[in-house]
Amino acid sequence: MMMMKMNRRSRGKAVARLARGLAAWTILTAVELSLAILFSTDPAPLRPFPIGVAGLAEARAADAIWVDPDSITIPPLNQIQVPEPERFVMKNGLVVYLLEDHDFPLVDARVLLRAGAIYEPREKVGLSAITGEVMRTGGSTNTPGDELDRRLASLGASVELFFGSTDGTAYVSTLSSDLEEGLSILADILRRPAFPEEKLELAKKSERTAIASRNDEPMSILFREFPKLIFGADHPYARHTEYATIDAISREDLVAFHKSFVHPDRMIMTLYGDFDRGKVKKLLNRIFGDWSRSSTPLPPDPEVAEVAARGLYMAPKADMTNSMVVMGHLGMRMDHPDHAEVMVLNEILGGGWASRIWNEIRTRRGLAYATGSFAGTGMHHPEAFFVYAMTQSDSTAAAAGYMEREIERILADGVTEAELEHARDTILNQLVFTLSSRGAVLYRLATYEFYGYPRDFLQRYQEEIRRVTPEDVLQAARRYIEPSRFVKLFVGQEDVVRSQIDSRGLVQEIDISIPEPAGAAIGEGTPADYERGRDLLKAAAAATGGPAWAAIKDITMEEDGSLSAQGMQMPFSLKSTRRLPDCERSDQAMPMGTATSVICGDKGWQKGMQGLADMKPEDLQEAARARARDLLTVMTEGDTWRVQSLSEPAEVDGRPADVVLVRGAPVEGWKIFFDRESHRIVRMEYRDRSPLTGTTGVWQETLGDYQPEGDILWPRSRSVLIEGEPFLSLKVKNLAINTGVSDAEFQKPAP
Amino acid sequence: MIHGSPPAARIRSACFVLSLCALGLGLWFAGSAGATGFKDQESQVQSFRLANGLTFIVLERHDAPVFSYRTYVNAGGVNETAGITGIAHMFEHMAFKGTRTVGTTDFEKEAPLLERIDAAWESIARETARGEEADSSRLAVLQKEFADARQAAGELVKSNEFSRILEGNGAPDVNAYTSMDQTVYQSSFPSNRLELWARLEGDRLTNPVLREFYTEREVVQEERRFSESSPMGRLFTVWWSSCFLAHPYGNGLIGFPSDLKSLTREDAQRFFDTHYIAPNITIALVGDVQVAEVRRLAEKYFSGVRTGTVPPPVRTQEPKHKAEIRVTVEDEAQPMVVMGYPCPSSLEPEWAAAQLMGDILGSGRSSRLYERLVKKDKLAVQVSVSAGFPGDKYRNLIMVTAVAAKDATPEQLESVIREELQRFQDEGPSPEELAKVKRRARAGFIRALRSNGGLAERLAEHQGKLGDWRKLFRYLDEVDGVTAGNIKALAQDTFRPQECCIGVLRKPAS
Repeated sequence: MMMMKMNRRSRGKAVARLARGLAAWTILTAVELSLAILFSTDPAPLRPFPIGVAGLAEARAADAIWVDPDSITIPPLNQIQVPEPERFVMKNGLVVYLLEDHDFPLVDARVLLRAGAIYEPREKVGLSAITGEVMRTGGSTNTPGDELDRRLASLGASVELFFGSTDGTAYVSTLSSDLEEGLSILADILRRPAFPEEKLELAKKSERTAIASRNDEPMSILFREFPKLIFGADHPYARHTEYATIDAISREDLVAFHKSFVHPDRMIMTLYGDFDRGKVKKLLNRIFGDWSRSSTPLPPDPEVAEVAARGLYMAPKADMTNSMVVMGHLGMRMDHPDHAEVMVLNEILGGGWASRIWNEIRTRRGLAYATGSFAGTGMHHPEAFFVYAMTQSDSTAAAAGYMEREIERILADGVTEAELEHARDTILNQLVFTLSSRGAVLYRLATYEFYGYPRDFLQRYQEEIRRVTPEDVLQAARRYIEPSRFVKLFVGQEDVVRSQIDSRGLVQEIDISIPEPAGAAIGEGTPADYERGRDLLKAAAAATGGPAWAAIKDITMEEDGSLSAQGMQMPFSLKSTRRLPDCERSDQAMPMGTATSVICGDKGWQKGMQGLADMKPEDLQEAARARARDLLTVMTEGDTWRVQSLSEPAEVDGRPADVVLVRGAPVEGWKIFFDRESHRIVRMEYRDRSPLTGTTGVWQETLGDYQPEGDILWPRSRSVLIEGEPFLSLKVKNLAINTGVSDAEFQKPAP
Repeated sequence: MIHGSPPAARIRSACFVLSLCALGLGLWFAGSAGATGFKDQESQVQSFRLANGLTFIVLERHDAPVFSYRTYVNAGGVNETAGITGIAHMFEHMAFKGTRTVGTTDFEKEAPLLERIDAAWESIARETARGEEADSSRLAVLQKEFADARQAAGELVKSNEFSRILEGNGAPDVNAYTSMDQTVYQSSFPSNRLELWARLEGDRLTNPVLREFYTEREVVQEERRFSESSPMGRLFTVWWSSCFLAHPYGNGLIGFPSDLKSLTREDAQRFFDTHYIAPNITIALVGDVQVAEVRRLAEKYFSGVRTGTVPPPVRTQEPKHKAEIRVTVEDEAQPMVVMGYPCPSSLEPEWAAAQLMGDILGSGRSSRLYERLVKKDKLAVQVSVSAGFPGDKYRNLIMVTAVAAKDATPEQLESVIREELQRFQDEGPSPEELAKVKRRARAGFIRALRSNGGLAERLAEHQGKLGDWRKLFRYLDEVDGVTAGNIKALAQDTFRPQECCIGVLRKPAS
């Protein structure tokens, strides 16, 4: 060791004095050493200055190998044989791509299907993913999930389902000898999922665990909070599960979600590997052929609009040893005319190992281990364009500053021809790999079809990349990147990071604490508690009309009062009409205008200052929640709910009250308060979205002044607090029951 | 995605060197589970050795015009000693900094500047080591000299040129990783880039220049902080170190902070000179290449790699533990437990049995611990068992990890795991369980052979670590030979309470 060390030192000095001789020294030593090894273990031949005439000559010869890498001849590439898969459409609309490959005794089947979180109600976020999970873990009505697990394990095969944000995938991977069984299992769970309660509970438990630990990893905070700032906290592309949304999910929801979204005409299937096409077609026909198409249209994709969230945000996390910064704004879809230019731009800015940000932040300054940029181009919808760095806490602002400088520089001066050439080479050469595996090509074609891209999208993209000029990149950059619109999010130790960024302007704090579930602190009741809960509801119905409730066919109510928002109070009038079984109308009047909304069945429209429009799924769902909490619903359906009587002493307006907690449907964690003496419902508490802030909060609705109308008693006053702040205060002006509300009330006007 | 390297992918792939990735080790080793009936693949593999001892393994596959390679260096974290922990990984970073002809505008001018930087740093380190006695004005002068020399050298650097050439030539997955046992460089190329690849890879194994060393040292320190920024990372770091009383496996991979701060370019160069010698390196290529052409290029570009005597294996053996080892991290995070028990190395005959045992206990939804902890008792959301932590060249650990479900405690997890391990020792595996894991091993093996990169990885590793790539194709025979009795005996020998090393992440007692 000692010897080696001395030699190394000496060699260093030799370098300093005789730089040209270094090559000679290294090459010669290598040769000498190899001879030495053959004859002795003594490292003595490692002489410090072994430069002789012969050595130099050899060195020059050897050095000649290391030519400029750019001068190495690149022969023409062997032809890429893009396979031609067979595509056909089954009678029920299932699109199938087949490609045989007999090199290995394996088959991979993949299914893309239009089942994703964008189709789930806002108050049941997590429903889609849980549906996918329980389809797999719960198995089918033929084979329970646990049996499936054992069977697949013993085949060395796997069948998995994953419902993501906008769509779902299912896949089977199996030895070719077990293909029939593998595909049959897939068909079975796609078509006949059993959804056992036990596996639903397991999935919910797992999701609750994920919620509990979602702040453990700093990276997951970043990737959860940033999209919320870009799309809006409640937007389907950004929102995430909470205990309340998981608690609200029932088995019926899974059944309904599956029924609505898993259909053969909304799927594309690819099969790749060692099989016989003829046989597989027969098999597919047998296992999928008699499956029927969907009967309702698919809801439209959520609209994407940039929310006005630009500015500085800080998510404090006390135990972090470093910090993270991410800055960006809304991106684009891949079929945008600037797509190719943006990909080149991103490659140069922060996409690759040779990019400006990588070079500046990591290589030159050693500030970050992970840094770069993300183009923000999405196949389904625009994603977020951003630059990011994970850095030592002290250098948070410095890292952010260097990234901002790089963005300014690229917007001011554009890119050089050399950078463009490198980015172009990188992108084009890497495309060889997207076509290099036959399975990958197949899947790519299916994906293009699924998202509505042309079949030759990749070829067109290649052409566009070839044509891009530096000027194109500069212009596209100026169209695409707007630093003034940036959302800048920092995650780290609050005081350390704030001391660096407070001078940049107002920093808004993001509260990442996890909202506790409604009723979480309340343990499950005994059977007697549930019995008493049901009795309290029955008593309330009996005390306010008894059988008269069931005779109600419609009810129309006019209320006047005030609405409070952001410290302002304004007059508010509401006329609401409900006609059983499934129509309702509300007309609202405020100083700035009027608004009407109507729902009949699963359709609805609204007319307001923005004009006439069909209701979006989330609005329909919100209305459904309100309808579930309507007094009429409580009185007519409440005896079918799971309602636990709570023993806690309660008072409403100074009078003793009994309290029940609704478990599961229709509103998890909903508390209902009954006056102990009159048995009337005097208060309700629940969690829902605040129309003022868009975030979920606790609503407290107090009912009073019960007066008769026909054979029932109906409260004539109500007030609503959200998170303790006054929101609504209303008195009933007119109440009418069974007036025979006509269809005209619910008719959608001409636009 | 169309584009090859989104940041998320980069973060993931770069995670090979993070201690956290230990959780993913199961995947790695599942991959080396064996095959049979693939003699035709085996017969197509060719290998040759250069005069300096460097071994090449080549498999021609012409269905797409691409190839993948792995350069397997049979040295990693386990070859480090006190004071230079982290150097194997640090060198791996430096291997992307270029050579005498790549990454510099003028090496002749650069070389003396690199010397100046080293000299300045050495003086700073020496002065700082005097503690209170250190001369602050002298330190200031030295710091300035250090900064000036770095500045001057930096002006001659063509930053990232090496990676840039690889990337520009279409390498979609340029990366390298360091593990306790090995360091591996990897990528794929369009097949018409074969000579370009040979010229670059040969150059960096022959003439690496460790430029920008002191900046990269900062990056690696940041990488360490990154790995400790989560409670799970903190648990893993301390648990890992605690499980080894003597063997260098316990040093971890990333390096201790004080070592990382003090590593020198000379340390890295010495590590290279000792371990990156031709007989210690195996290169595997799989894809659209011709063996004869590979041979010609290997002779041309790799004959200059220095030869030498392969360093002897690590001498220290982990003594048998006479007492349980327990570490606890309290944090407001999801509780988990990680338990390690002694496990044979991949060079021992029990290795196949150890892997099957891990599979039966904790791999997949029908494994024993998953069925019990996740499905039946609902105490855990995740559980896994894998043999070979943190490496498998020497005796190592079979590792059980379980993440608690909400409202479950680590104490509950531990007690159920112990109960199941005891039951397994008493009963051994059932015939169905054994048949299941053997079949899965076969299917997994075949899948691994399908990709060029996966096959290159396994060929290189079997040659580099076990001395013969053909052992890859024997693995399934070994697996088939394992009996229920072998596994039961191994279980009884393994799961002794006094040899357990347990780490617990729990919520603070309020």
